[in-house]
Amino acid sequence: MKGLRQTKASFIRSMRIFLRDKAIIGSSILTPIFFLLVLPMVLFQDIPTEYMPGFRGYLTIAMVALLVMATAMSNLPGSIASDRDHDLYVKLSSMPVNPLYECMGRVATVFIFSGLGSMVLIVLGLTLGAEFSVVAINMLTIIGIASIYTLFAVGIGLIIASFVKSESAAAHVGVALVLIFYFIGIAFPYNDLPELLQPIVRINPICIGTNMIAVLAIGEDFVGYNPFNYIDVTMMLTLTGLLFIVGLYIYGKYCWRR
Amino acid sequence: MNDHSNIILDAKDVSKSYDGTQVLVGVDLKVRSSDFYVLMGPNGSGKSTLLSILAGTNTSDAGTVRILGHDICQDRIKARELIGYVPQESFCSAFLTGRENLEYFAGLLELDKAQAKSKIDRLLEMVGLEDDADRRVAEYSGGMRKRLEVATALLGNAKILFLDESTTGLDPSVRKDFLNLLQEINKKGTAILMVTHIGEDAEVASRVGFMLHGDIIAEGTPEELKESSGLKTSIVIDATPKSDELMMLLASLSDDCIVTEREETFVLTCGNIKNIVPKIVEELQSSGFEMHSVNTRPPSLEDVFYHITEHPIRGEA
Repeated sequence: MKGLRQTKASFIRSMRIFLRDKAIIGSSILTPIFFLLVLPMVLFQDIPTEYMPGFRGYLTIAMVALLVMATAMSNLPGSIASDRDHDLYVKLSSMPVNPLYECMGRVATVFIFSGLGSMVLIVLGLTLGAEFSVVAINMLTIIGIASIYTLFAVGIGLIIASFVKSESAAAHVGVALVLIFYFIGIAFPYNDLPELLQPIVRINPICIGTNMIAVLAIGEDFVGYNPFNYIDVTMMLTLTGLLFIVGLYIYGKYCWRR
Repeated sequence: MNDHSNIILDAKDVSKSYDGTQVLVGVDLKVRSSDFYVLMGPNGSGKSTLLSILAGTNTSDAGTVRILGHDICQDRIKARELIGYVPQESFCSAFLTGRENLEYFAGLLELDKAQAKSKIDRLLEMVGLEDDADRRVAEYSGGMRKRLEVATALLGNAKILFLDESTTGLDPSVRKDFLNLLQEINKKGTAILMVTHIGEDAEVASRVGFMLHGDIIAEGTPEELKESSGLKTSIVIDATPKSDELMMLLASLSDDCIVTEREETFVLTCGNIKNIVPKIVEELQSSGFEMHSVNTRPPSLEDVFYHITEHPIRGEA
């Protein structure tokens, strides 16, 4: 298929960089691992023992979302900005390369890297006592939901990379957004959020997706509402599609220019 | 100069302005398949902008650029297949090995695996990196990085190589090796167009263009340019204290000479040097300057550039 080699070349390069750059490994994978180990000691002290597996399960799901966000919204724009600083896009624009195919390689990297990191987090979470009630059919749904919110995060990452020119600034803007998204809608179950913040959760595909996964893997009672409704699903799909397409378009238009 | 049969690059009336400032003023440039063309000019003269337009990474406001007849804007894929471009910054990833970087660019050019492998092996040998191919680029010296970048530009079917200030930051011996490599590539049939603000780089070229204020103001072989300038000799003076007074004193010695300050020395470029050296020695000693050396040499292209433009190449345009 035309362009597949370009996507594959871009994917292999980005994947190698993501796996070799200690800063990327540290911020994307080691930070959620650290939180997974330490947060229960701080936050779960007063929780009755019988609820602990559910809380640990939710924390694991939240850490997977944190990992995806850090990879797509901070490390992806950081690596794109670094490549721009080093004239890679100037070089690429002198070659018969299609920006769309090249970008797809980077998107694939976010998916595979996040997938690998998520597996590490889930295994660690289970080892620490997390419990999930997942049947095979739900597993596929969960992967689908995680893929949708990853796509949304990638869209945001591409937009950041297109407008924030320096490597450090691009990564920092990403980190700021990750923290905002994490603390408003993911760090705590929907039920525990103040009423003022609850609507924000329902317009953010990453929060909606995290809650959907939590409902499937832990139970609706734990989350406090069922996000599998017409409004939330429509909002999630529409915003994800919109952000991803806008991200791709802006990437092709602005990142490939000095 | 009148041979149009093997023109690789044909740029006509290329203009560009940024925020109302005219950076290129209707530049015409032809490069033939056998050319090692060096475009010399000070920082800000427009040479990198011109190169970026020729390489298709920037657009012009007016004019046309054709690579073997293919318009860089209209026939963008075909034209880009014939170009190898080495930008100013080091674009190869430091996290990857030299070979991995080449594999990446080979993949982008959609070479199949066997084709890519044999081409990469051949290019690594050509640029002298076969023993370092599996080391990460982070461990490469500046010269090794530049050679790797040239290899990436030759992976496709490049008929012309564009190099943007590729020798900047290289020490003299590494720069000489790098220029030898470019000459070797040129002899094998790839035209080269390099922009630089370092005069010595142009000495190895088959054709040289002087660029100032967004236009090519003189063009020819190094010998033609030197001959047309009428300059016969340059005198390199190392004396202290280095000051404006010393420069003014040297300038006052002859109407036939021009003085420039270069790398801790003063260079007097003259049409006629008869009796000038003893006069320099005498004047410097009587004025209290300490003289370390006075040497004569043939005029360089940097001297000629200054003579023609009255502008030092190592300053801002």
